[in-house]
Amino acid sequence: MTVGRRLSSLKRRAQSGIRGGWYKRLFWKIFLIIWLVSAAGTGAVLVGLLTVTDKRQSLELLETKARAQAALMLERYQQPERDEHHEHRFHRRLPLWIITEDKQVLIGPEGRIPKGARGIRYPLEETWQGQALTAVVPAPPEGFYIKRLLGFLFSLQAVLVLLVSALAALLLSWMIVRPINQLCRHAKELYYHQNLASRASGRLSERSDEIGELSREFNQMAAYVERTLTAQQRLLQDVSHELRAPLARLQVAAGLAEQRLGEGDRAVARINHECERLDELIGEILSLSRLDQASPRGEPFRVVALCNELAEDLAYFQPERELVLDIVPADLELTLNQSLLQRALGNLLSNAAKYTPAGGCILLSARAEAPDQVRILLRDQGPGVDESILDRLTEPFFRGQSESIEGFGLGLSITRRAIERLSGTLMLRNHPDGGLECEILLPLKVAGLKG
Amino acid sequence: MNERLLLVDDDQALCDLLTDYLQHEGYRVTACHSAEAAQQRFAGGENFDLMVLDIQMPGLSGLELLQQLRPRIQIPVVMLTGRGDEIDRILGLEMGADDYLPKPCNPRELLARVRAVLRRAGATAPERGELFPSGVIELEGVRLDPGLRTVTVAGEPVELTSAEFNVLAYLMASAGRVMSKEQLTELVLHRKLTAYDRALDVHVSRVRQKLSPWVADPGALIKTIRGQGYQFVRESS
Repeated sequence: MTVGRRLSSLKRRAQSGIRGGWYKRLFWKIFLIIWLVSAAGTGAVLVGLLTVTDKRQSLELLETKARAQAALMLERYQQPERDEHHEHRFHRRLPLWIITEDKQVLIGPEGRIPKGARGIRYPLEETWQGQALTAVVPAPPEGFYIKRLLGFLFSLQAVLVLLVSALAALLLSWMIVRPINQLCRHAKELYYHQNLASRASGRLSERSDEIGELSREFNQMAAYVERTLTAQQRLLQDVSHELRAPLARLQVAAGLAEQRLGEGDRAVARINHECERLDELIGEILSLSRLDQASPRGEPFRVVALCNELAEDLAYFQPERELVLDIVPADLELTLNQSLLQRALGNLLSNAAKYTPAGGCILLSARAEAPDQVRILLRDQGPGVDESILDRLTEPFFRGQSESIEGFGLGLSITRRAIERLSGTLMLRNHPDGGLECEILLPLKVAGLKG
Repeated sequence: MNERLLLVDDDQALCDLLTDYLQHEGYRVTACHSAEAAQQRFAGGENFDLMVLDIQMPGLSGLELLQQLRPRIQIPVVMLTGRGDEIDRILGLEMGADDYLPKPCNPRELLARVRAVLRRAGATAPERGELFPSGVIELEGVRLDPGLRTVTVAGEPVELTSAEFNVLAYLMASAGRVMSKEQLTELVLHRKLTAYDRALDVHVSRVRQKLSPWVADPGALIKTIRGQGYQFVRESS
């Protein structure tokens, strides 16, 4: 009985599911993270590799150059006709110093020799006066390599890295999110469409990973929910059914008491009245639970005939309230279980009659809107319903602000259950011009619709 | 008075209470707790003026019992049906039950139905008042003889139950005019029209159905006037 609790309010949220933009979706989150991280990682490794190779090449080039220049410089230095002018002819290519073992500059430009890491030293094969010689050149600046990195970012390699990692990220993300989405659909089917038999598919629950485990746990939970709800419904139905026999006896016993005490006895009248109320309540509970067993299929019938019957019932109960019919097309014919629709509309109508002041009218319109949709609207001329309780009106035993008005709060639950049995939807809302408007949408093939 | 009633219900305690109640009202009551037991009573040649029949019983159901009795035994029947079991109700009326009452019910209502059905069964022409046709009527090819209680179309007899015959008789006697459902219910079923009461509608639709082999459009001959009642349409009117 409580399956329907607060469903209508949740139902509206069910369609959107996730609130917020596309970036809130797990799929895109996983995709973006994997993509960016893998692209950055691959890019960094590639840039690193390229840089190292590049650096080694340029260092080798520098060494060759330096050694050649050092050899030339030494040769000139050892010439007897050497002078300061000659020295200047070759020293400009590279700033290069040749130093002896005891750190004395043998040949070299003016200025300080770069120390430590700022200079690169090459031990030379040549010796001078028995001392080993070393050539010193300044190390090339690091900025030299950053330029290469920037160049990489706009290169073909970068595009390739981005593409390949995007593909990998898409694949991974899809692998994770797809089974979650499937499971989500099963959960929605169970909850929003009240298909208690909904279970995760075999392929999902047979997986040996965490998702498989989740699916199996979901199935267990769904089975538990199904058992509990079915048992609850059966209990209510059985109890109600069993109550009828003692109630029937009670009524006859009250009748016997009435025969003895006389017709006007107030206690007996009260017993009779309460018996009738109890009988009504039991009848409504039973008809609510019986709806679940009713077949939605039926013979074709004309909507206008059904509405005329409703109008007659209304005329009998509430002669001072009129039912105004508007059926398009006038010969609209539906093929479904007529008594389900009649029950649904009858309850809506008696509800509408309760709130419509005497002399007012109730509007009932039925329209074939599309080849597969019928919209039925019923609007009363009552005060409408507080927005905060609109969603709860179809809960069993919920009675709005009208404790004084007769009923058990089952009528609208019966309506909703009957409409859902016909695969339709029921929406209650306040009409902008006042009054409560009930909208029934039935997904149907309409026989009477022309064109 | 002192009509004999047969009460068929599987609830023994209820039968005992109802027996007390109805005896207090002056009826002679016999109770059976199954359809089979009731069958034996009829087979034994016992006669009753009316049967109160519960539809839902273990074993043979009330509907099955009714099916077996009709048309051989024309005993007036008031059915007790489960609330909301409209199929049972319609089937029962179509099988010739005279009236129905949802169970559980107030015994006063049951008493009223029993009285109404008995009055109807025992009624003679003068009791029916001036609205009942006094002589043979022939309209639109339908010939109704209130004395012989027969209806013929083109010389062929139409089998109607007593309630169906009365519906047609009242409608034909007032041909061209609309008879309200309230009035027809009081005349035919001898009781007031109640909420969600479809008994009269079932009788009317059965009459239409039985006329359909001869009448092209029985729905146009016996017209439903929305919010008012029924009308037997006369071409010339």
